[in-house]
Formats: sequence, structure tokens, C-alpha cells
Amino acid sequence: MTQNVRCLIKFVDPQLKRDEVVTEVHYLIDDLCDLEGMGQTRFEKVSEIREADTISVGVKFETDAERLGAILRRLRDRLYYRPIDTLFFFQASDLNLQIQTHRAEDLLGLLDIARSGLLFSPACDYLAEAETYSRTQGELSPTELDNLNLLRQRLGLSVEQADDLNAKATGPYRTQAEKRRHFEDITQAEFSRLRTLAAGQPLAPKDIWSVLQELAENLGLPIPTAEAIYQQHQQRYDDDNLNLLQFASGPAEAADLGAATPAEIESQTQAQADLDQYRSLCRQAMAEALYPSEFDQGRLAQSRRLRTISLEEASTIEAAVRDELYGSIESATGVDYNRLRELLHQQAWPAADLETEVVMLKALNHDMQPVTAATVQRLSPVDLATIDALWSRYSNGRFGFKAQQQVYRGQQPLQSDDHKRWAVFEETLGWREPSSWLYQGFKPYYNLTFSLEAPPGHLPTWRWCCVSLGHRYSPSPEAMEAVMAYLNDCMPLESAMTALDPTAIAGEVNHAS
Amino acid sequence: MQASVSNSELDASLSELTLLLKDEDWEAADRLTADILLLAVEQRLHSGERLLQDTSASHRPHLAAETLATIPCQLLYALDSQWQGASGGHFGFSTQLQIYTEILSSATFDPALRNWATPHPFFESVGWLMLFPVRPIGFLRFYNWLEFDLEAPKGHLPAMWYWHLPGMASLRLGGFSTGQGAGFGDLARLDAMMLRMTRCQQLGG
Repeated sequence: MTQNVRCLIKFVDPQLKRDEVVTEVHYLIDDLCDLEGMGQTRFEKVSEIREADTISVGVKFETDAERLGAILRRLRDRLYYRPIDTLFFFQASDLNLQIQTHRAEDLLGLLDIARSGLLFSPACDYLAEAETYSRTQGELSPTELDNLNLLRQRLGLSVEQADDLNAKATGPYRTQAEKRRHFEDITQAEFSRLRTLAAGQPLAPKDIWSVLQELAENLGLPIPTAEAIYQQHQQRYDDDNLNLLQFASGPAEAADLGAATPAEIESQTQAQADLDQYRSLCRQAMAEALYPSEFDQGRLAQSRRLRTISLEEASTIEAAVRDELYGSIESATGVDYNRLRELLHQQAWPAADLETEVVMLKALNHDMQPVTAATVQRLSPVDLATIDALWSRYSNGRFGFKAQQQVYRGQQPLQSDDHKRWAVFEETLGWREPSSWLYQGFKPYYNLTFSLEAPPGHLPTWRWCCVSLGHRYSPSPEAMEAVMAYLNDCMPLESAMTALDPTAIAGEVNHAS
Repeated sequence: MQASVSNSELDASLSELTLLLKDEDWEAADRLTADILLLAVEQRLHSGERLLQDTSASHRPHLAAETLATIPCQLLYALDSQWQGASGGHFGFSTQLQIYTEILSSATFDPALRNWATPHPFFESVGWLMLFPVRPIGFLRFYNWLEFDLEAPKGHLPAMWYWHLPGMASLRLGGFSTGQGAGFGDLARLDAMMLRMTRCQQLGG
């Protein structure tokens, strides 16, 4: 028959700060749950009001008297590592034990009293001791075995029983060497799996450590030993990736490395590996969103501090990754295309069209005056290409300057009359309706179609060469002529199609003259 | 780029404007504001800068849409902040822009639907429409019928920049060579000025 013991453990050390106490309670519960057969126990936190806040300062639970020995040993170990003034209170049917101490030895005294007064399981007691030993070094040393042997005699256990319990405590891998070997094998396997996954692409070994750490705990392998093994493997993995990169980046850098001392190479390698890891974290964080979520920003900041990457370096990497994932925003005139990219990414077409005017006029750098036939050539081809690429990218090639050039190229052979040619161009783009003698066909700017249903090349509008938009959107033919000619200079379309078409060439000549 | 603006003649005019606004002589200030804009445009012509406008330039230029689109941003700022300051935000180009933008973004406004019977809501809002039934609705007041005090609707002034038109243009808009007076509102010029303000604001102080 079993006998129940009510236990109360409370931290009373006045030097403990509030959050330290809470953490201690948390760890205490973890430690106790960890014991054989304690998984089902219900732990009740003991709260106290301190500085107007209710915080937990201890724990209350009920358990079998059989387990008391094991619990006391675990508590003793805790005190041994961290002597905190603690109140222990145990209550069985006819026995009250209470002690307030920070000394581990005092608890042992309590253990002897408990043994005399309670139904007591020697096996549990022995196992707790063996587990404690096993956990500290990963195996049972000769001295520890001798200690256990003495304990076995005191508890009156048989040699066979003790051997069983020893085996249970150490787990399937008996010695630390065996555990190490096993852990190394698994780590090795994890990293080769990662290599096949990454397939030549430098990817950070994410989340491997947390799993391996769990494995080490289950094996009873001390964490520092496990971590050393893990880091060895990770280093090797990073070096491999780095070699791949250097191989790709060509001889200049290799010569550079050749001149450096091995120590320098190593620190450079490490720094490079850090940057690479940060870069891949950036990629993850920005895979879903142009700008990382608050959570991911936190992760990035943490990683940056951990790898001692400077703020400038980090933002350079972030910008590079953003360009790689969402399109480059290169500018020869110092114009910031971030907002345009963001708006296009959100498919906010009207706002993106307005922003296109802003960046065009800024790039023109002419007091925000509209683009004219006389000034269009001041626009940088780099900037035009950036704007075109962004529009094209986010509309699947439907919008952008290239799309407009294509429309123009397509209809050009049909019209020789200059005036009519531009009218037809505007009609094809959906910028105006066919005119009659009564009706000019102009649309107000705000009645244009700001969606993907618009005709190809409809956007971006050329509002940046208009002096007014409100009642009609109609760039002047002179301005359109100059803009189109300049676009053809800056970003010629592939001539494969037109080279075969003599009328198109005739049109081109016509246009040039 | 703003070199042509910061010369002595303009500076003198701007200080004169400060005095007029301080005395709350709104009409004189309004006329001077239009003169300053024209002065800046003329100077630009003389300094040889090519304008959008085809300038046969035998007569004084008026503030056509193409001209308005090239008024130096700095000058617009200077004029606007003087009006804003003197009227506590009641008058000024940016007050007019604010009204204009609100109308554009309101759901019921259809820019395609404008005729003599449905003038642009902006004219009504700033109180530029003729109230006497001399002409059908949708025509603007004569200049001297405007209100030159702070009781006027918000954005009522400055107005001369808009009223000043060559005789022919006035006739085309249905007026009697009296500028905008008794004529239809010229939407292109109104929009050109508002667009110019919008673009200048993008320069960000």
C-alpha cells in the first residue's frame, strides 16, 4: 500500500529578484517532472504578493512516499549547485518535516529521517542517485560506482537489481565514449542530409542544433561535449560552402587570400561565414514580405549582434537580398525607388503611377517641371531601365516602357502620318478613344484603367510629360515623339522581329528623319 | 536653378507683398501675386530658357497651363507661405490644393461629366461662381465681384493668377475679354496649377 506525502517547496532567499524567483520555480518544476514516475504529478504554484504583483515563489504537490528519496536527492543536487535559502515542508499522515536551509547536506539529514519514518522504495532512491551521477559526466566513473555500491548495501538491494538500475540510469549507451560516438554519427548524418538539401546553395544549418541538443539530453551526454561536436561539424560544413563560393568568385579573391596568413584566412573565413548566414536568414525573412515582419526583424537583429555584424554591413546585405528577391532599384541619379517597388509589389496601380511621376521628375532634376522634348535626354538610361523593370516584373510584362515600345513598334508600319500615328498609339494603349469631328476622344486622367485588365502598355502613364491631367490626359505629340525615340535609344527592343520586316525598318527611318 | 527668382526685382516685390498682406489689403496683394508670377515667367523668357509655350512673345505672356507647369517651386513656396501666414491658412495656393484634392478623391466626383450646367465643384467651393443670374450657372464672377476679406470662402484667394487672361482666351471661354470673369472655368489651367503645387510638394521642403 502506498502512502502519500504532501510537499511544499518555497524560495525564501531575500537576495533573489522577482523574475529570478519565477525562473527558479519554473526550473524546479522541470527538474522534478524529470524524475522517474513524476510525469503525472500535478504541481501547484505557490504565489505571494510582492511589490504589488502576484508572483509564484514556490510549488506544492502530492506524491508517493516511495519517491520522496529520489525527490530529496534531486533537491539536494539543486542546492549543491545553487545554494538558495529555501523552505522545505513535507507532510505524511503521522510525520511533519520542515527545514529552511541553503546547505545541501541538511537535506541529506532529512533524507535519513524520511527513511526511518516512511514506507520507502530503495530502488527509486538508488536510481535517482545513479541518474544524477550518470548525467554529470555521461557515464559512471569507478568512484561513483563504488559510492553506488555502498548505497546498494545500505538500502539492502541485490547486486543484480543494482546492475539493472545502473543500466537504466546510463541508458543504451553505457560509457561516455559510446554516447559520443553515437552522437557524432547522428550529427554527421544530419549535415550530409543538409548538404543534399542545399544542393550547392549556401544555406545555414537551421534548427539542427535544437534537435541535436534534445538528443544529447536524452542520451545523457553532457551538453558542452555535444555542442563541441556539433560546432566541429558546422565549421566543416561552412568551410565547404565557402570553398564553393570562392571557386565561383574567381581568381582575384583567391590571390588575395594567398597573401594572407593562415590566422587571417581563418578569421576572414569565419567573418565570411557569418555574413553568409546572415544573408540566408535575410532571405528567409523576406521570402514572404518585402519588409520583414516585426518578429523577423527581431530575429535579424539578434543574429546581427550574435555574429557582430555592423549595422551598415547588415543593411547592405538586407538591401542586396531585397534587390535579389524583388527586383533591383539601381539609380544613376540618387533617386530612391523603394516606394515604387513596394507599391508595385502591392499592385497598388494608381499610387504606383503617381509615384512613377515623382521618381521620373526627381530623376530629371529640373525643379519638378514636366518632361519635355527638350529635356527628356537628361533622364538616365539606368533609371529608365529600373522603372521599366519594376513595372514589367509586377505586371508579368503587361506594363512598362518596353511594353509600350512593343505596342508602338507593332502599329508603326500601319501609319505614316505623324499626327495620326500618335493618336493610334494612344488609342491602342487605351489612353484615349477614337476621335470624330465632334468628339476628341480624350479621357480625364482619373478615368484611365488602373488594373491588370487595362490594355498592354496602358501603364505607366506618361503623366510626367503633361502640364495638366484633370480634364484630359493627353501628352503632346512632340513630347511623345521625343520620349519614344529616347526610349528606343536607351533600351532597344530585340531586333529579331523587326529585322525581318522591311516595313518596320522603313518606319524607323521615317521616324528618325 | 532658382537663380532667376532670387534677384532684386522679385525680392522687392515679395517684400511689398509682405506689407500688403500685413495690412490685409487682400485685393492689392492678390494682384501683386499674379504680377510676381508673371514677372518670374518673363524673366525666364529673357534669360533665354526655352519654355513649353510657343512664345511669339509680342504681348505679355499670361499664365497658361504650360507656363504654370514651370513656375519655380521656390517661388510658389514663398508666395504660398506668405498668404498662409497672413490669413491663418484661409487663403493660399496650398489651401486651394487641399480643397481640390478633397474633391478629386470624393467618390461622387466624375471628372468626365463637366458642362455649363455642372461646373467643377472646386469653383463652387471657393466661391468663384457668379451668384447673380446674369449668365447661366457655371460662369465665374467678374474679378471685382470677388470678396476681398476673411469672410470669403476658404481658398477664395489668390484668384488673379486665374483671372488674368488675354482677350482672345477670355472670349473663347465665354467671357467678354474680362479675363475669367463671366467665362467658363478653364479646367486645364486650374489643374495645371494644382498639379504644379503637387509636384513641388514632392520636393519636400
